[in-house]
Amino acid sequence: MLVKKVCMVGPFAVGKTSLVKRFVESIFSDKYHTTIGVKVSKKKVELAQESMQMMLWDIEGVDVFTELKSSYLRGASGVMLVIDGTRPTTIRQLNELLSLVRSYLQETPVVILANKFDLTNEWKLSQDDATKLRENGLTLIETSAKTGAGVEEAFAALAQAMLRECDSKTAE
Amino acid sequence: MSKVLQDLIKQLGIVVFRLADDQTLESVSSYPEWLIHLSKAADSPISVDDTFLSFDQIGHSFPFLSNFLIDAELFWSNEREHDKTDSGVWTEVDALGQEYQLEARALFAENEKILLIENVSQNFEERHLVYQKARDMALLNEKLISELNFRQRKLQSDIERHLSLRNPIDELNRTVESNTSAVLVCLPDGDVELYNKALINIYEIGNDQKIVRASMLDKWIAEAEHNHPEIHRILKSGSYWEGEFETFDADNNQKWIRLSIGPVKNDAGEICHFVCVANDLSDFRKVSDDWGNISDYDFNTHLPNRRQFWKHISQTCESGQKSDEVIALMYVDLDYFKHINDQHGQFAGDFLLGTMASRLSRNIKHGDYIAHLGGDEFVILLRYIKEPEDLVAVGERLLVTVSEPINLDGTPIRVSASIGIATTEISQTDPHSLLRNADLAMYSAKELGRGQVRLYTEELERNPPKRSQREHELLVAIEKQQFVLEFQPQVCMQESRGKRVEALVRWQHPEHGLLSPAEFVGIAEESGSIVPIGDWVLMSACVSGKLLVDSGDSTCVAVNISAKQLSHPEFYNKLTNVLRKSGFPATHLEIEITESSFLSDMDKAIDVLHRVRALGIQVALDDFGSGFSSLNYLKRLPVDYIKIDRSFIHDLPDDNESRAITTSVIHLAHQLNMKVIAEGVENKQQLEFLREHDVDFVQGFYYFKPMPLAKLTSLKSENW
Repeated sequence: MLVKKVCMVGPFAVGKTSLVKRFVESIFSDKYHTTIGVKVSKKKVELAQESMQMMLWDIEGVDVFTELKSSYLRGASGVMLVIDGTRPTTIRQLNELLSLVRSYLQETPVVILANKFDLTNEWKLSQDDATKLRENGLTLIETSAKTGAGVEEAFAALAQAMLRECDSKTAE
Repeated sequence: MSKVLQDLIKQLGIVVFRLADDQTLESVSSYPEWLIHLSKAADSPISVDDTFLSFDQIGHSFPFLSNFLIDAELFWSNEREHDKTDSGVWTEVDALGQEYQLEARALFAENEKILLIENVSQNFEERHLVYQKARDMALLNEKLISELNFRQRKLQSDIERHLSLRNPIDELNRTVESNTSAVLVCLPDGDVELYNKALINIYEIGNDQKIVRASMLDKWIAEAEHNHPEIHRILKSGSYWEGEFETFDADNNQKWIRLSIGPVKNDAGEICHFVCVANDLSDFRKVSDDWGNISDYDFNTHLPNRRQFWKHISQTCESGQKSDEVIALMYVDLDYFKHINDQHGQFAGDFLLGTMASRLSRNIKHGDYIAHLGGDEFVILLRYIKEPEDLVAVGERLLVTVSEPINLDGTPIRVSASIGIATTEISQTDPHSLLRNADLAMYSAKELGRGQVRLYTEELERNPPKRSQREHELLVAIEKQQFVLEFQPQVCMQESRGKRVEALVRWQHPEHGLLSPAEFVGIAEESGSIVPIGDWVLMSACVSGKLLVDSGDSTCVAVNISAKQLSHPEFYNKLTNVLRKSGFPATHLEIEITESSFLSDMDKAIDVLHRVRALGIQVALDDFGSGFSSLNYLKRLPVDYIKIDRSFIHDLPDDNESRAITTSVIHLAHQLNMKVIAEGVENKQQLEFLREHDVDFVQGFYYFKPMPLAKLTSLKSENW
């Protein structure tokens, strides 16, 4: 079975832990419980070709107290870059976080999750911005850890991308 | 190891390994229960008898550790900068769902390479609670600040717009009266024209309104300058300023306000009003202070803010009172930030600031200190300087990182910065003077043309940057009409489509001779005097054009119109008046605008251009490609000509990128039924390339230099 390290990266309070909990344990809590440091969870994913064990590194959000430790990204096969679609400050941080990730992991697949999609009245990520990101070749998926919308799809997309990357490296 | 020590380590919840010669980890203490317990949950149990563990074994039980062991090995094998390296906290979960917080350290003890893993769960709750509350607070503050800033900036801009349209000030009463933000509108000498109840409430001055009448503006500036010494310079230059500072009410009670001051200018480019909007942040500050460093950080850039900067520099100076160490302060100011903010909006502006903060932070060395003073200004305090000359190299390195492209709204743009540097011995440091000197040097860098690094010298005190003097001279030049026009022909490349010239302004300076636009247009644009200068150019060009028409020469005259002229509410009326007074046919006039004309309000600019074209006037888009060029909006613009920026022509025909851009612009313009003018053509190779690619007109020294009207009229027709 393939074992792949996946890093959950993003500003604080965007729902990284909730997404992992939804994906791994199918549960959700409305209460914001901040993460300190890292928590590693595992989830087995069945792909058409083979099974994959995802090692999900839920990394503490970036804020005034905490920078993203580059060493946490080492050896990652995939990155989930999470923003909160209702908070403009987190949307603005997206490009720089993406650059930061790219400076350490040039070829590694990255999937962008715009989370809290259930809060439709507060949604701030414009269709234009979303389209531009997609036009730039990025995979952007609107998710809701609360309802589960888009969550399975997002992890499946990343798993497929990691598998393709793995195959292309093998072919080389 | 003694049994006492073994027992102590166990009680502390610590496990200690020594790196053995065979690169395995040898346990030098017995395993605590939590380690055995957690390794069972991980399906790769560690037994109490496993004295030696391979990296793989420990990595199977604790995947997080396999990553940290790479850092540990690096630490053990290299020269040591620090005495230990740690992993940071991570969380493991046992089979029952119980969470354990662990932390690992690599260190040396008696020359042995030691790995220590500690169970920090016991104190974790308290630590978590602090972080939890701090982040809850940060979320709340993020929301409050975002709403407050939005409301304050909107009110400020509404009032400024009202006044710039020359509407009566009394009409503002209704908007301002019940607003929760304090508003004060005053004349440049501080005389109050308008204020509201919220201002009275902040200062608790009851019916005694003397404090308001006695120049509130002066009071604010005096209070703000302690932490914002640059406020004088910014207001003097006629720019917008905003910041937070301590203020005192009528009973001398301390308060904390956020104040913005915006100048409004008259047609002559002189400041006629200051619009001030303030909000009382005292309650917000009090709550923030309870959470210590939250109020010391900027929410957008995540950097220490001005308040924290003063704390830091004061502590630095106190701790180094007996030291002869030299410290340096770099004042970094982004160039043209306001333009970017206006074009792309406040959110994009904030994103740009966050990005620049991140780039600057990544490019300073360990031990240096960076803060975001507010607006587009950052400071970096540098210590342990070997050679002061190296500082310029550091500054230039920062300029390079700032200028890397950044993606705003899908458009990659580049920004530059101006950097001023002041140095001093730490024992003699007066923080306020140091900041003031760095600010003066930065301002001097701006004067030198931006995108530069400048060191503070005493010479700057004796000969401060010339801008204010040059601004004054410009006002005199407008009054005494010290400007002259020259004309540069644009040569048609296809079958003749008529003769065309561009009118170019020169300043006949009484001391410095004939000055080119590059030497004064920038200052004129920032000070607002570009509007009266532009008015003069328009009228003179039309009068000259009429002389050409009257002499039987139906030349089309192109006149540069600045963004400020075009956005002026009276522009259209002024234009029609000029045509009427000069008698110059509208069909012979062309106005050249730049992309910056569309920065503040694209729809409004387009509307004006439609009305201008309806008069028969042609429109050219100048310097295309040099600024925020976006092909997306090109099709929306009512323009007849595109002028390719000279920087692309300069590199023709050898440079691949210039070739590609030039041919693409020509092709695209023709598809959109626009004509193309290439400016800055200086040699035959450039001309041949442009001719081959169907450019419509060329302008440049290869054919003609700019010339006075008399010389133009003597040119033989067949020559152009």
